[in-house]
Formats: sequence, structure tokens, C-alpha cells
Amino acid sequence: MDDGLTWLQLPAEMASLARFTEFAREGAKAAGLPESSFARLDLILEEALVNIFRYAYPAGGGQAIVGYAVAGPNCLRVDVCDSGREFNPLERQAPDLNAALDERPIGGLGIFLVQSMAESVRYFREDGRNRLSFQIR
Amino acid sequence: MRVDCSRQGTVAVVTLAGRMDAKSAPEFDSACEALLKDGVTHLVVGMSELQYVSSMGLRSFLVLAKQTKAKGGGVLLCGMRGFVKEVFDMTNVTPLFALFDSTEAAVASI
Repeated sequence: MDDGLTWLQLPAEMASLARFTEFAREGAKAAGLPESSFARLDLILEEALVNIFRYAYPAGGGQAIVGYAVAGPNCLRVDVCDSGREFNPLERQAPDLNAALDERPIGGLGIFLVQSMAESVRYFREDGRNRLSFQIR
Repeated sequence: MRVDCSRQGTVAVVTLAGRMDAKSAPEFDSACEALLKDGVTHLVVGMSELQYVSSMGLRSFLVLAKQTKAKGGGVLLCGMRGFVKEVFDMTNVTPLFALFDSTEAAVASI
């Protein structure tokens, strides 16, 4: 897990969300992201992490790992990893955003927002880890 | 996030301030659930001081919209702006709600 990224590993639980957010903000400042991008960064990171907190480790416990690197002028790369069960969120079918209230799906909006707000998103499965890598400007 | 509730009959005004993320959205859920259980049918939500919402928050709003509709009521959103509006618009959730500039205007419409 080097790749030139700066890493933070914490328990995969909701109590870790604020520290991960703070950590990624350090990356945002290092990359020179405008403050207007911070909320989008927070959201992408939250959606990726909450998926891990809820589903990666059905037996409980487990760790989440976040890394960042400056990817270019005003561009930040963030990788979100876990060693829980294999899951590629990008394979999830897009939710029907035109359905009326009664039929409107409650789930699937998080990953849709990630894909809409990030400059790019990729998923890898490597060394028994899920790795979601995104870039944001 | 701060959640302030006031109520008159079957109409409740819930004013939100700060950040509605996966950790804080349940506070909004439980405040509204208690109101609905107690006979409230219309939720007027003041959002002008709400700075952030994620999909967990969207989920809360969608669930409340379905629950209040089943009671013949609804959720009325007031003063939505900035990033929160961006998230609602991007997911096309905005058209599912009645929108108002102020909570006073929303209450007057009921």
C-alpha cells in the first residue's frame, strides 16, 4: 500500500467518518482544490466509507483505509480500501431517477452521486482488497 | 447537525442546521418519526441553514415523503440552497417535493 499515497487506517465504523473526512481535507488543501469542492469530496468519501462500514464486514470488526495523493494541478486522487467481502459498487444498476414517489427507489443514490461528482472513479480487486479510486477537482 | 421542532396540530416545523451525514441523519429520522407517531401529517422542513446532505439524508427525506403521503399529508421543503440543492437536483429528488422560500409560506399553504 505505498503507491506514493498518504494513508490512514481506522476501524470500519461510523465513528471513524469525521477523522477520515478531516484527513481527506488535508489532501484537498495539498492539491489546491477550491473550497467549493470540499462538500463534493466529503460526499464521495462518505458514500464509499458508509458502504464499507455497513456491508464489508458482516461479522463486525475490520478496517477501512483511505489514501490520497495530488494527481495534478487542482486535482486530488483518493483511494478507499477494505479487506472485506468482494464488492464492486460500480456494477450496481443505476437507480430510476424518473420514477414517481411511490416507485422511487430509496437505495442506489449514493454511488450515483459518487459517479456524478467525481472526475473519474475506478474499482480494483487486488490482494484480497476492494479498492475504489477516484479523482476530484 | 441541529434539529429544532415546533408543532401546531397536525403540522410540524422542523428546522435543520449544519451537516446531515450518515452519522447525523438518524437524528432527523427519529425526531420526525416521533412527530408522525404523535399525529403529525405535514412536515415543514426549514433547510436554509443546512449546508450538507449525503445519500443517507436523501433516504430520510424519501422515506418521510412516502410515510406522510400515506397519511394524506406531505413534506414541504423550505429555503433549500447551495450544495444541498445540488444533491437534490442531481438525483432528481427535488420534483418529488413541494418547495417554498420560507417555512411561513409553507405553513400558510397547508
